[in-house]
Amino acid sequence: MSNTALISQEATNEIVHQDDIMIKVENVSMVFNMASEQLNSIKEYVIKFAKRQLFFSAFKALDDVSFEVKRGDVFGIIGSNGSGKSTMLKIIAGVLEPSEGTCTINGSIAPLIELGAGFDLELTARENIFLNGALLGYPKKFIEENFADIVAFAEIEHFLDMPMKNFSSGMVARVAFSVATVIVPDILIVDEVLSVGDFMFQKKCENRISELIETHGVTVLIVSHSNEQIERLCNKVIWIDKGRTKKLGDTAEICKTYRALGGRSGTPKSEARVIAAIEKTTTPVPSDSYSMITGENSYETAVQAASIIWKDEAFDTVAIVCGGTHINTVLANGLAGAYNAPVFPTRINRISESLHDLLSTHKPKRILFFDCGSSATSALNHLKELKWKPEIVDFSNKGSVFDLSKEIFAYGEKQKLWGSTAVVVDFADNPESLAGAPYLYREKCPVFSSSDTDPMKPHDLLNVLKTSEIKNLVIFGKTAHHGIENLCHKHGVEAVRIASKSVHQACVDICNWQFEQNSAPHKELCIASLEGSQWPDVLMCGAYCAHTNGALLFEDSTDLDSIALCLDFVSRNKAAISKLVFFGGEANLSELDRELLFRELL
Amino acid sequence: MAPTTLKHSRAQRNWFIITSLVSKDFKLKYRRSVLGMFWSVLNPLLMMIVLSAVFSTMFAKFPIENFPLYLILGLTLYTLMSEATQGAMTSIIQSAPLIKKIRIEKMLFPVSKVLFSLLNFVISLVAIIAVMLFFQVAPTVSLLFLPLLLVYVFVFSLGLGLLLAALSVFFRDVIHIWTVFLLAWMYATPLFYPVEALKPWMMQAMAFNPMYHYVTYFREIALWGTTPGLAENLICLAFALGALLLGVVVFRANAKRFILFV
Repeated sequence: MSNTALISQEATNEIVHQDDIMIKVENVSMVFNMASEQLNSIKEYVIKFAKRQLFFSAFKALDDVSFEVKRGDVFGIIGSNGSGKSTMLKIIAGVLEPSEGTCTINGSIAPLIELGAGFDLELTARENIFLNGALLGYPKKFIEENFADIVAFAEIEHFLDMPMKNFSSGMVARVAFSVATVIVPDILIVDEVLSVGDFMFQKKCENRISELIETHGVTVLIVSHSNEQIERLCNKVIWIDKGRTKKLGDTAEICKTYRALGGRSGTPKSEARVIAAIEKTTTPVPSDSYSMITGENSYETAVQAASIIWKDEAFDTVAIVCGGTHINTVLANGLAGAYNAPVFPTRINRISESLHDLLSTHKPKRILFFDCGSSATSALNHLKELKWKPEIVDFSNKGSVFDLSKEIFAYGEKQKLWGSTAVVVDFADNPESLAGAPYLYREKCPVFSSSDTDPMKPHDLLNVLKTSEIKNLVIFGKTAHHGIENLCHKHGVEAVRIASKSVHQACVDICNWQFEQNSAPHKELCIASLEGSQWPDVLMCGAYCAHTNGALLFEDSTDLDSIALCLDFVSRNKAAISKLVFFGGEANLSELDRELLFRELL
Repeated sequence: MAPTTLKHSRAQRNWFIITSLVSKDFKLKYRRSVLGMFWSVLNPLLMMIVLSAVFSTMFAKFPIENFPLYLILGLTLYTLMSEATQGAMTSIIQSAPLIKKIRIEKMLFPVSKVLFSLLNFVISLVAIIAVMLFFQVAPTVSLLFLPLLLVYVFVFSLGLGLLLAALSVFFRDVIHIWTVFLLAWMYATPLFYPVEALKPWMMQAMAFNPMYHYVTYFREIALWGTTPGLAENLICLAFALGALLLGVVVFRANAKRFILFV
């Protein structure tokens, strides 16, 4: 196919040079007037009306964007959703006029933006090919001459006279792509189109685009979320973020940064920190430079971790916690530490086979069972049926978290298991409590926790502490009652709180604090995704870290501030860190995230 | 390419788009109906029969000769205008997916809708001929004015259609109001009754009703066999051009902002 026809006969009168500028975008800004919809009260309405903001509130979709695309360039536009890519494309396609600045196009444009916009699915494929061709500006004669090519490329010979509503979406996309690329335009715009259709057709589409690029020297503009596609096809890239040009230039470099930063937000300082880290990644890191603990699922991860620590060692006590809530493991860690017991999360309905096997091998004498809310009765019954009849200490209640805390505390007091420090953490401070878990295990801390439904009063806590030898109190997280510290001080109990408004900061602080508390020269640093704090993946972490003199660091991979904090932490403590251990499945922290952290050790 | 050929080919391209859109509408209108295009003939006939039955039995009889022919002439012409304006009114909103993706002359959409209604009207002329034959009303030379009338009504409807299309993009309320307005306008136009049945002040007001002029024009050339005078032609032309001017100005002024609202 070589139809070098002109479809929009607007501006191709002059002879063009090989290195001609095909698209020139100069200082383009686009401001939308959005009707304000979030008016909740008449008062707001009146205020907005008085300020004349009722009907128009400006939204800047593009802010002073400039770039040039030369003949033969394959130019990529990347950016997260809502960054202004599509607006830019619409301006280039000429359907939208920029509020400020100019966009000059030199030549004809074939838009592949959302294929098949002009189809009427009631019509047959044949009728639609002509209709769509007309709308794309092809002359009738041209369509007639190339009809066979269009049909052959779309592979719809047998369905020509069938209404297109009976077509699959892939078939519709094929017809659309075929009609749109039958012509050789000067500029081809490709907007996420390659994501439709089956694999074979995607390949075919890409080949056709490559053919247009290589044999006809067509200038191509590609918009995609798919970094790979951009990397494979483009020679130049612009990265648009929140309507501004973030980076413009060489594909490989920008794609690398985009992969690490794309779609993530944070302060400019954090961003600079992460970019600096990325720029260090010139040589690949050998895959065995850090270790990963990951099982088939979250529960298996715990079994894996335990089999590393208790490989040769026997254990006579085991703590089993219901995976339904994190608080079970938080409450369990102190007791488990006292007994030097591994902590296993379990599903509520059964004990997994691998855990059952592990228990059968070690035949522990005592099983501590933690189940706040009494939801895992099936799992508990399963344990009761174990052949060697271990003693089962059942800490399940239907009552409040605080009641269960007190029950566990009383049990530990009776057996004289506790250390000298107690910990207070609110049920809502989920990541903080898990980050503190290694400390709980190591120091054999009783934990006092409560939730919104039955909040713990400082006096209640003090009354419990008075009955014991405990002289120190550590509070993790911002939510726990702020009267506790004062009251404790008055009654001679030392209290410290480690908390921050930001969860990210709090997690790093807790991790850091544990590093300072622990005098061991070499520590393993366990790292898990903050997202993972919601899952049973990390419920074993406390026991694992306590055994390796380590601490647990949470990184929120969607937040640059958190990434920067974690990078700084690793870099600051590199002398003390012997090894990085990543907890949780592949999905938790990406390879790049892991590499970045590892490089801070070098 | 020389500028003249450039212009020519652009016009050709737009014409191809219009014909494609009109033929699409035709195909969609008659797809899966047994009688197909014959409905465009049958429909006005059936409407005429129902209305003349209603108006000649239930209401006080107006002394109108060949009442069914009188009725069908007014009815078909009014239908042309009402279908054309309604089609044009929603044409921009309906082609939103296209307008958002492809650079295209937006006026083509209302134009194609008005053209489609005009073609339907031409088909329904068969029904009018049948009625004329039935009542043995012989056509006169005046009927040669028909193309001129169609130009007036086409231009008038296009003007209104452009105005409505532009307004409805920004205020969807227009679509609902127009339906009601068309109904009121239908009764305000002497389609079912002679204009003489009106009170004097109403007769005077009728001079400002363009549809009254067009319908009367149609009846003169097809029913009464009289030739419309210069004054009448000028009035009809003035209404048509006035509507077109208003429509084009409003449409042009807002066309660039359509994409933000459809």
